[in-house]
Amino acid sequence: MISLLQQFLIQTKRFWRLAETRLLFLALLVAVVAVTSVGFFTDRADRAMNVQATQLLGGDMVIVSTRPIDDSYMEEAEKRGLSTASTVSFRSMVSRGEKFQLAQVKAVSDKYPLHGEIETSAVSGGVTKATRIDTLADNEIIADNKLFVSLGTGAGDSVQLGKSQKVLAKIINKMPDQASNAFQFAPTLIMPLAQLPETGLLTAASRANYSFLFAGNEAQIDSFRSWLKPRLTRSEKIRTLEDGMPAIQQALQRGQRFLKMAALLAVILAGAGIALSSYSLTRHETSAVAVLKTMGASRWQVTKHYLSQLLIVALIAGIVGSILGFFIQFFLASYLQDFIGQELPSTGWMPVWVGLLTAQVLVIGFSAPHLLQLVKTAPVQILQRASSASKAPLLLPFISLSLSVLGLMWLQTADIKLSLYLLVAVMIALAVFWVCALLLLKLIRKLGERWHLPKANRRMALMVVVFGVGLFSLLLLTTLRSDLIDRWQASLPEGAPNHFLINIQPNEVQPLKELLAKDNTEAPIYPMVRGRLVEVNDKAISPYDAKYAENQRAQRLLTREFNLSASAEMPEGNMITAGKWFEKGAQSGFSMEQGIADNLGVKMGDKLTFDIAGQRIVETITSMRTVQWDSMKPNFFVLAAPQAFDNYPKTFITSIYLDESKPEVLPNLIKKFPSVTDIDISAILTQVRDLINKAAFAVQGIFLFTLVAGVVVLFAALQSQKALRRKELAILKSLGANRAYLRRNLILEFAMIGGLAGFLAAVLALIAGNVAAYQLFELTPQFNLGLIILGTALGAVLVSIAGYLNVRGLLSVVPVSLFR
Amino acid sequence: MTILMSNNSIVIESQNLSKSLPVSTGEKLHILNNISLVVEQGESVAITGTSGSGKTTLLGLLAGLDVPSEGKVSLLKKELTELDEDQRAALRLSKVGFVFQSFHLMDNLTALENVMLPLELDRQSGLKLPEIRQRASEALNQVGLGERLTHLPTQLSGGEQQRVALARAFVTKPSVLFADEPTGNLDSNTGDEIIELLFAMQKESNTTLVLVTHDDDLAEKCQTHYKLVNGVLAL
Ligand SMILES: Nc1ncnc2c1ncn2[C@@H]1O[C@H](COP(=O)(O)OP(=O)(O)O)[C@@H](O)[C@H]1O
Ligand SMILES: [Mg+2]
Repeated sequence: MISLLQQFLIQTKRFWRLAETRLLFLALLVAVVAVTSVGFFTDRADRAMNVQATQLLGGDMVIVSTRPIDDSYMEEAEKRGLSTASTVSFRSMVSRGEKFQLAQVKAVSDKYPLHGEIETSAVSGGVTKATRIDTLADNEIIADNKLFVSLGTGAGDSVQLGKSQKVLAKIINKMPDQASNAFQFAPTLIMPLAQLPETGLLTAASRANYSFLFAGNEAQIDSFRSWLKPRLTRSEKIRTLEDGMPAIQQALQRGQRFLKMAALLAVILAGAGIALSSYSLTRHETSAVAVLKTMGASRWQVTKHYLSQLLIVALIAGIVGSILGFFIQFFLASYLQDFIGQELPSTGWMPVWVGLLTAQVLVIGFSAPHLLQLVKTAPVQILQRASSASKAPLLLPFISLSLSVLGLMWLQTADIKLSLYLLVAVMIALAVFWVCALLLLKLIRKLGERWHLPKANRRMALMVVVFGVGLFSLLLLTTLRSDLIDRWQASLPEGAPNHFLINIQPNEVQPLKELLAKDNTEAPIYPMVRGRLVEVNDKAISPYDAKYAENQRAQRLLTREFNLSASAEMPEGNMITAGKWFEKGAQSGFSMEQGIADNLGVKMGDKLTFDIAGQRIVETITSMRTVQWDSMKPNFFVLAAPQAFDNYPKTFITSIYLDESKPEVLPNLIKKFPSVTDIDISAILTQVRDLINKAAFAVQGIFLFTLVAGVVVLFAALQSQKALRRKELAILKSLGANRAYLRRNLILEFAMIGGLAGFLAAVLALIAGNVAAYQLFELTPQFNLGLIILGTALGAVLVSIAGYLNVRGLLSVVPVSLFR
Repeated sequence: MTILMSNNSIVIESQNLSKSLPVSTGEKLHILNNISLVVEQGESVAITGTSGSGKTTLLGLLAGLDVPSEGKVSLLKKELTELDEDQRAALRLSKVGFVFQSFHLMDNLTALENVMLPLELDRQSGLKLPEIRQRASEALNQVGLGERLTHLPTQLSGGEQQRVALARAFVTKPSVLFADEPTGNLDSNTGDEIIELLFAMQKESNTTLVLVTHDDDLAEKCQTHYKLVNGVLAL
């Protein structure tokens, strides 16, 4: 046993001395590191995000409704061992003496929230503590600081809420579901559900939103959901995690998708490196196998020898790669930790298995066909001078490679359909590469005769395809990466508005404008009225219409009030997609956001009726727009002609950028315009910016793997042709070619191969990049000439340098020794 | 020739051996025609002929590396045409050695490891690693390379590489040694040294030698000398 293991280790040591083995190992290592580090990281980030999303939602699953929800759901849930909570929210006036403020009242049961916490403090900016509802005294309620400010109270003062007196006990700093409430202008007030009846606020006719929250393990929730679904009434909806996921997390998810894609590309690229190094390994070992066979080695012995060596190399690469991947992931995770906001869940073992499996699949799928070829080597070949390289069948390698690539894609994307698409795309790309390379080389051969360029041949076509695919992956990732990062950063440029001013009264608009102009922080001020969409083309419309049965978003839109505005200028960042923006002096028409119009099923020329506090406004849609929702500026679904709301009750809104170096601006402003409410979003902005920078860093890191994989492929490709080149050079030298001539020819040849590969790669990357950016990240297509120039130059330079370095040694060897 | 010797000592025997290959025109290229010969234990046989006369092809057939188009070959009392590739390989294991014109050492193995290889392949021998190492280094000592055990082939001269090849061929004390132009890639002085060594080792281990060469002087050193002309064998 020991001697067997010893024997095995000795074999491995010998195998390792082959340059091809080391290249193979390197390619495998890169693939495993890419897969495991991304796997470890996304695994943790995913779980962290889920935790956070459930906190935002307040539970694992939530039912919302505009009517009281059936109590039997609660009973069933408790029978099933789920924890439950319920809330009712509605708007009501809160008063203290002469002062009144409209508040968003949320009456909640004792266990609310099931996930996450309500954090409160005694004074604004004071020490924050998690507060449980059941610790509040019988008449105590808690509320946003806004409510305290507008009523001029402090903690402990009592206020009038409906028919009862309540004590404003604490200031709410943080609570679940806050993100979706950021732009809800009425301050939130939370009270225990038990206190609700005595206020007399909630009657059958009141408009209120009811919700039940449930928490439990995944299996419990899933089975409860299936029990629940058929029982829900039309007004009862299940809110999912996605609903509770704010933009930050969507950005992170987009980043994750990119990371996985990048890792996959690195793996496939590494696969090309593996295929190439196994190819050269096979060529190199052909005579070795023939010799072994003359010594009496059987086919099985040869198979066993090479297969076990390949598998052990893959295993070592898998283990070393997983360890490296783990540490790299640690680094990434600690970088991203702050904003995921909490301790990341610890790493799972899954990525290790994926990494080990990846290495084995790669080595079997990419080198097995070569291995079979190798085993077939006839011993007589050793006697024949020109070892007649046996014609390899093409079908087997093709099937084997396709299956393993598909397997790897599946492993990464966990989506067989997507994997099949990707596989077909890769094959088409390869075919396109091959055809283009042949055509271009043909062209060059014509020109080459005139310019004495190196002769173009099939071998060059192969190199063009190999390098082309490598460069293609790199360029594709470069464009996607910069698209992604640019897009993230452009959404929040330096100087993006960091404060919203709302509740601006009509008579304050002019003086405020003047004041802002003085501080150079002028920004458009928009009127704002709230209206409910009640008719389309004079026909009444309701969220319960059959047309919206499957469309939760439309239902939600129709239940809530729209913020309507009017403007002479089209807001910055908006883009007309149909019709025309209001002409000067226009008095009528609506400009509607495209997405919402699609959602509601309304189109250009439709007549919309909005109910604004009992008054009706009827206009036809004269234009459609797209809106940059993440611009942190006031955005409106519906804009009317400039003077449309002159006779309606309204307030105004604007967003401004306040420089931190001028802290006096805001207090001055508030003093002059006491009714104006300031919403400070600079903290959110900083958080989002920070996230973007760190995510961008992570993306760059993964990009590096692809780069390394690309370099491995480059060297593997060169190595695979070294023997042939050696012979060629020997012949040329013996024919009297001098070093300078040979060097010039080699560099020219490599530059040509690289330039062609780079050119093709850039053109295809541009096409594929736009498609992918659009499909995966919903980014708009762009044409980038610079990429093509960069690709061609990069290819020419990179391949000539690497190629020259690889064969330089051959130039200085004397011809006779080359014949050996 | 000593046809009268007892049948027990016959090591190689061929009857009406022919080899032809299809060529692109659809016709057949006849490389060897009706070759019959007998080689006995301990005998040294030279096969000469001009380049392209089919010497290497014949060697390959006699050693069971290739299969004839017609005729029979037996090696070590086994009819080769009745064996499959692996069975033929098993027959060679430890009993047949080769020396090639271009050495064919494994370039990722040291001199010692190259010589250890045939012993390692033979699982039946039951040799332990230290013994294998011991015997391999003795063989290298014998060819005068005792000090170069850990050198890789690229660090050795052509003559030294061929010495390693000799050590590798003789380390298993084979019954038969096939050598195809063993001096073809060496200068004449080095070639002479290799030949001297080859015959010395052959005599010492009483190995049957089949030597293919175009060098008639060298052929004269063998007990038997066949000439191959137009695919036909003559004495
Ligand atoms: N696999 C093969 N395919 C085609 N022709 C072959 C093959 N092997 C040998 N030949 C031809 O057979 C003849 C004899 O070759 P070979 O045995 O190598 O000659 P020698 O070793 O005497 O120089 C040559 O003409 C050679 O071209
Ligand atoms: Mg020959």
